[in-house]
Amino acid sequence: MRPRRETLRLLLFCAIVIAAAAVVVRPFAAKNESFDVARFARIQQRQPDFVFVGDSLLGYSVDQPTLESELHGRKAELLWHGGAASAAWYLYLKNFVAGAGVHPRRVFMFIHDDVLTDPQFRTTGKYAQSLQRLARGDEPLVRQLTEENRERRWWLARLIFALFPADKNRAHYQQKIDGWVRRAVAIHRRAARQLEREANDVFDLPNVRPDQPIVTTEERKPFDVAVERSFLPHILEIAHAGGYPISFVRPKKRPGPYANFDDTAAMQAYYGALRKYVEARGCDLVDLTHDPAITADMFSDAVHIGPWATRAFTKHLVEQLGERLR
Amino acid sequence: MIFHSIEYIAFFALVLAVYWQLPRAAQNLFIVAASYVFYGWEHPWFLIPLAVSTVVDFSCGLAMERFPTRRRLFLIVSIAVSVALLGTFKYYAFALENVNALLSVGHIPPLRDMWRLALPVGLSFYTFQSIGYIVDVYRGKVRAERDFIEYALYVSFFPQLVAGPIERAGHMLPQYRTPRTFDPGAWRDALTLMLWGFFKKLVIADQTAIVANKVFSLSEPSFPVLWAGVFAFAIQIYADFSGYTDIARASARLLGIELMENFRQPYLASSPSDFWRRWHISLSTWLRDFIYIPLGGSRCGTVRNSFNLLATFTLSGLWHGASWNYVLWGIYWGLLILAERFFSWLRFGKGLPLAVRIGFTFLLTCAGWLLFRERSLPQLIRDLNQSPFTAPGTQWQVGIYLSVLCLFYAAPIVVQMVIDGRERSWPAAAKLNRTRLFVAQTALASLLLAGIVIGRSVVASDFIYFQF
Repeated sequence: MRPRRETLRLLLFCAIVIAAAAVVVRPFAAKNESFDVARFARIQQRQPDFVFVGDSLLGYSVDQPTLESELHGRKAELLWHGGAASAAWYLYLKNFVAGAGVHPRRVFMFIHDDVLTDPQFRTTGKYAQSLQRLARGDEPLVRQLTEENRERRWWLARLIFALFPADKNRAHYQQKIDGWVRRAVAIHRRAARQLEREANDVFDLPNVRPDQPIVTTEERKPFDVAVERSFLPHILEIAHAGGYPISFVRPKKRPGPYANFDDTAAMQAYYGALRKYVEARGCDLVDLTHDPAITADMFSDAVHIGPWATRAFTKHLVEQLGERLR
Repeated sequence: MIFHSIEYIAFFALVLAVYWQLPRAAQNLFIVAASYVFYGWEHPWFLIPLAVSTVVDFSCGLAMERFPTRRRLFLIVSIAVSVALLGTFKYYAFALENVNALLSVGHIPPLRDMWRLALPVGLSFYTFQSIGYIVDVYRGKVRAERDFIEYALYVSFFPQLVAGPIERAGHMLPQYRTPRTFDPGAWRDALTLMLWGFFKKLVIADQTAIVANKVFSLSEPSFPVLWAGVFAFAIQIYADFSGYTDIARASARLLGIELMENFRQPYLASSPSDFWRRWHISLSTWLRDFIYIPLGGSRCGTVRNSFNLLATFTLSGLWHGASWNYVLWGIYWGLLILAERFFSWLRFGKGLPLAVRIGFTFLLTCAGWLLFRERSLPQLIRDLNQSPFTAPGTQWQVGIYLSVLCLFYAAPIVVQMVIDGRERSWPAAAKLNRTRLFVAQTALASLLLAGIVIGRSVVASDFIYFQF
């Protein structure tokens, strides 16, 4: 009788622990975001002639008023958010261009490294929430290409993630903890921001040892292998159906270790293959990585153009895109 | 297979479900089979050195009793095989590199690299465990095991196979011979311990690893940033290794087997020798019993005793890895303990409050961790040349921020240290009645599980001691 009671206690223990933990973590779960209706309505109403899609490399570099003034009355729309990657670019094109009935003359897509053919890049945590704002309910292709993580396909893993959804939101809370500690050390908010910048400077790539994997490893799939399971064919398909070409724009990074990535043999081979692939489908690639007019003093960090240089950069970009903006 | 994977959770649940349905004789065979699946999961060829070690040491143990006049020969054969395994997989590349460096001084062409094999995880742990068995048989401390399955289980028992504790035959073999009973109370303790181990690894160790890895990837970190990184590593390595041990002990307990304690609040040590009584206890006692004492221990002259100590700690460093920084780390600890022992007449620190002695020992330990973590000797020299007086104020602020961040994540360990310290003088758990104990344990386990889900690092890393 007694061992049976002990076994029941053990089962009760397990059940309570799982249930209580699930209740405790529930408030920490990532909230489901709804479709960004305001942005959708805006682009639908504006019917731009040119659409620029990208991430912060686009958003921080291009000044929209300057761009439109250079276009002499034609309208341009920038579709971007910080950390956007190929899944987001696909959704922008599918739901905010094609889905909104927009018929641009051309779409410009700002890409970097091999992000265009890395479908899982930046699709979890806070990035998953950004994707929800771009998605029209269930997006089967996004689900298929982004959830190829072995663990997540397993029923046991799915069960655990369903029970403890806060797991998706970990990065957000860890950034909060980082922020609290910085504020505690720096005492007030402004000093905390300064401290964050100083910490970022300490660990900036030029200070990293040259033998570190981040600087030297090139564990990148060749383009021909990566493209098959990426959003690129689907992006081109949407453009083809809409009757407009896409110009893929590869911006320049500040000269230094980050920019050196772009000159590796693997990267050059990758972009050579990408150029051939998109040109065969009526699109093209604009490579700005060796543009001498984009100088180091225009950058606020290793990859972003500073606010003081965005107008100059935008004017220069319009010149470089030339005929494509006619 | 690693503990913090979905595969392990599924594998272990399946093992438990089958294991407790089997009769005792079949239980051992089943765990051996499960251990081989566990160990060969990623690289099946890892099973070859494991099987070789098992067969050779089992046979040599039996042969020692069968042919008592040739005991020494079988001891040498067995140890030679273990050392050969370590040499082949772990030390070959290191030795070749150093020999070629010497040859290059004399402008002699370098030796050819004959082979380059990956190091099977846990090799250092199970070879030391096997050597411990064979020496104990030789000394007559334990009888040679006659049941091959029981011996195979002693070497390959999966909870402790890849990172210890390095168990003794006298502790494990009797447990494998006796019937195990399913104890739901022990299961509750084990599950709570397992959650605590996972919390230490996935939250504390992996979070502090981010800071440590970032600092140790810098080419010229300033003094405060460097030491913030060392502090982060001190927390990481303790949480990582003791977390592994907790998961191992809990897994074994769920199978009805008790593993030895491997850590006893090492950062509360009040002297270098006290640290080694609390840190990686299974290795330090192994080295004491099988290296230090056979060399003569402390029952000899001062010079010889100093040599014995230094040799033991140098070997301890080399055991950790085939790299000069580990050797330096071993020598560093040897010198600290020598200093503590031979300058004891100075009564250095004896009159100081305990907290100061603990703090001082912690600083010495951190200095040791710098040697342990920094693999490149030129980089180590650059690190040691950093002066606190030349670092600008902003660097101090960044260093303090990183240290406080690590301290935040390490807070549960500090709380545990306090509770553990109180329990030793005031056994709180014993005073709780069964219902209160159940409630307290359930609340703790729930919080740990919730903490793991929310606080688990975004960047997961392997257990540090897997590489040894």
